[in-house]
Amino acid sequence: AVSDDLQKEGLHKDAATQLAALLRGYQTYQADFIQIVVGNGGESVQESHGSMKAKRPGMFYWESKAPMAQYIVSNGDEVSVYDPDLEQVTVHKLNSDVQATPALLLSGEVDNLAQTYDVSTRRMGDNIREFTLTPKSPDSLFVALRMSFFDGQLQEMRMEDSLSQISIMSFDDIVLNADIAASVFKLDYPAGVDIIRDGS
Amino acid sequence: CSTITLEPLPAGLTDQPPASWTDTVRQRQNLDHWKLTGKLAVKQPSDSGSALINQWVQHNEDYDLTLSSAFLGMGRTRLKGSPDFIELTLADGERYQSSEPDELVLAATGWRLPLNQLTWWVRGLTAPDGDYRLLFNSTGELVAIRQSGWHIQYDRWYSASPELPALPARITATKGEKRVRMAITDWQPLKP
Repeated sequence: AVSDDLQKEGLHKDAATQLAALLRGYQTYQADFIQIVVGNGGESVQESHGSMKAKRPGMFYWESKAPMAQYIVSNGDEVSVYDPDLEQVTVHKLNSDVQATPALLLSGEVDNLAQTYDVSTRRMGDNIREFTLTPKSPDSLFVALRMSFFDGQLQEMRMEDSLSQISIMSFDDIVLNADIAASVFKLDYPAGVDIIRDGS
Repeated sequence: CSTITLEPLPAGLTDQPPASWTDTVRQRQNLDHWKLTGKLAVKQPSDSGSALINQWVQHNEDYDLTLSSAFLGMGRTRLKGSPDFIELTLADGERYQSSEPDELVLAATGWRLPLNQLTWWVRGLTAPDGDYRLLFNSTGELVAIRQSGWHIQYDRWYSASPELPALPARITATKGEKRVRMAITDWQPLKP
């Protein structure tokens, strides 16, 4: 499995390099997800579920189901967010600030992880490995992101923001490195929907 | 009630309320402790965007509104206050206070959000102050409110349970080139 490459790669490498090696092994990643957002009082504030696909370089397809129905698609150049309830599509460039969002760790550039995050890692038992990423820039969406891998497969992403609210993204039915056509990363939406280009 | 210049009515609409209107208004006004979740989109020349409404809790005139970025529910903005006070906490934790809620929201987020009036409009009610005009369709359902230069269109209704009045599921408020659209995915009455 992927985690063997990690062993071959030698654990002495620092955490950022290990994580980059692990993520680079993900040419494509697809999974169903359940996302729970927990307020700082511990109360569950929002739950959504759906499915996602990611493909290097920079492509991802993110569909969350009703009641929070939403489609977020990146073709590697632009990110489009289609909201069927709002009947609106917003399109913006896949630039650096969006790169900071965790989804792009799965499809974006991972060579410069160490410049963007302080990365630490620890092993839990013999098949779970956790990486904790702390953004170096203050105005990131989150203050800490923890990625948990089970036998080299990303199982969970746990993000904490500056209001100490936590968003836990758990993945299931994970398929690694299946081939996914680039055409999948195209958003289709009905005519008559408002299209808003950032900065337009 | 006050009269405003009467433009011609759009076809099929009347500004004469149905007989049940006073009951409907009273039912909606009685809903003064509530929580909703949904989505918000603001479209205006300078800065458009959308956000998830993680929750909007209202106790009489006090609101506690938490918005987050549509993506991954991160990057929270919290608006907490009353008609004449607001405390705004941005995603990076910075906190601002003001006695002018709408002005502070505009300054901090770039969005023109008529928050005080929205607390009424979102329940299908007119805001307390400001001339208004009501438009109903042939079945007596509220189609739009015109108030303070805004046109608030009631696109879809939500009737969750018998003891709750019909409440908006989607509203679109426009004023000139500004547009605020809210999709409400869940309404819940709260105990005071």
